[in-house]
Amino acid sequence: MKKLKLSLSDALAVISGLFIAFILLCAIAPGFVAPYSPTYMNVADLLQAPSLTHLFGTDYFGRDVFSVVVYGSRDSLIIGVASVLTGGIIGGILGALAGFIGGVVDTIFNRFIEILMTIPGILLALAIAAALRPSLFSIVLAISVSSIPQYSRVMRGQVISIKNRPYITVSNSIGTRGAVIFVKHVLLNSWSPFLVMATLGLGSSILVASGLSFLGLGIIKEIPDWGTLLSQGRGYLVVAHWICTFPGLVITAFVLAINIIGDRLRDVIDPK
Amino acid sequence: MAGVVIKKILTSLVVLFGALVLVFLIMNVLPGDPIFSIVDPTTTSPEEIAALKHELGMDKPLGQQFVEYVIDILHGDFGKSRASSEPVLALILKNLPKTIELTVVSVVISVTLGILLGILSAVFRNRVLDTVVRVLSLITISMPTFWTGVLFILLFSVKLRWLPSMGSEGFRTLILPSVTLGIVSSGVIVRMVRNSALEIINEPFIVTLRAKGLAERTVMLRHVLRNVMIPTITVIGLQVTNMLAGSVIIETVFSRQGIGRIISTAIMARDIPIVQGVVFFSAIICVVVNLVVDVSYAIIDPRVRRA
Repeated sequence: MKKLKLSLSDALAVISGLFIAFILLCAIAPGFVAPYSPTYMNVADLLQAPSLTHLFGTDYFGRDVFSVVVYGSRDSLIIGVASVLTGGIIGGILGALAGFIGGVVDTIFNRFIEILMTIPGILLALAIAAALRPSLFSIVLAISVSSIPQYSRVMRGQVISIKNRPYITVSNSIGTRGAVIFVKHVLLNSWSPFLVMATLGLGSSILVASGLSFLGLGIIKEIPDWGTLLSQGRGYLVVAHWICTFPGLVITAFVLAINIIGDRLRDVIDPK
Repeated sequence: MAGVVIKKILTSLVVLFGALVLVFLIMNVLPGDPIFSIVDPTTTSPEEIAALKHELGMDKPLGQQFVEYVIDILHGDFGKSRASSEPVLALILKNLPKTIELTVVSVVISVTLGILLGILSAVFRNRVLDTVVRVLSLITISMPTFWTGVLFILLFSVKLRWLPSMGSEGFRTLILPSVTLGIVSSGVIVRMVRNSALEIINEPFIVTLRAKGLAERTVMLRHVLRNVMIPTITVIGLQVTNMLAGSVIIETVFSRQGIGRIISTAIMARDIPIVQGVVFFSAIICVVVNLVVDVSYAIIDPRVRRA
């Protein structure tokens, strides 16, 4: 029974991994996957329902929705990955330093994180995105800043638990420099829960980014990202629901795949 | 207990002041002159821009602007909307009841679903029901809130014509938005309750209670549920603030009156005083909710009360 359960969760992780790989392929080489150009407008094919010719149907310009989704994956993915990297690196280093140094630095850091957490993530992201002109940079900055608390708290907790272990005390007692202990012994041993958090953070970054695009704070481009496409399709819900439903389904499936991989990663790293 | 509450209130005030500084910095220090959120630099002359800056007090040093902003806030003046000239606080207070209504109903839905399904999932661990609940909770966590709302509109308003897709008057208009927000948020609570319940079910005191012959129902309701509530309340507190933020999207999807709707409209119109006011007001609500959560620990857990 245990073996069957294990293989079921492994199978789910494999399917999720394959789906993530497919979306990565869409982002890297969209021309290889998409059957049509995302800017090709066929007036004769306006608002066509899904069929074998157009898997996700066509939109109000006669564009193939599947092709637009494939090409739109690039921006959605860039935003997600860049936000996780920026927020994760800044949050992770700040949290690690606060946990390692402790004392007043840690207290000030905790207050700062508490302040950041007082403003709900999407509202903070909205405020930053609204203060700047809509661009890829402003969206990445907005999501990164709002995600700093989650990364820093995880890293801080992990570093505090590691710095009190005997081998760190031994390193200290033989005169190893603080910076060396921090990088070589503490930081390198604290990455595992951080990796899980970053994996799950990719999913939530993509959700926040699509929410910002949905509210009109996305990048205005010829090829819309997933959130913008969904937002644009909302006006055609009664006559052509597929413009909305398929991009949403792709976002859900992608975030679900990331969450499954994140959960699996957590199980492997921490079997408890 | 009173000392703990007073200390929490003082810390909350410090955090709130920090949030005020943060909001001010975001709106005034980030790259780009804030005046360009009001006028188009390509069509407005430098003289006109300078005159407008002077009129709005934006030509003063940043420190002075901040001090005046704090004094205004302390007097209950959150500024005026640049689009309608209506006081921001009045606008927030006018729209707040609808957002509170939506948040409260959504929290009730998500907490009820979350606790019920989480406990069932833990009790029937590794059975079909557990797998179904876990998969469903993972799906709800992965769904964009606005898409779920759009799907509900498509099904219940467009196809079945059971419920209205927009508006904010009457209970019927509240059903779809609150169910959307409630279901999306319930996934996190289900996972939290399940994990906590599984840990508590295996604790020695639960084994002892069962060995003493206590009815399973009493064990679950009186002992497991009560202990599960402590970590769950933290998540519920977080969910309240998340739902407040989620209302921005939900009120837009369902064209519903509320502070979420006014901030999304203000963002489109680049009406910075409203954005600033709503974000800070949300911070106040979050601080109050966190305070309530901290105090409720003491009520539920006698160990915290005695500490």
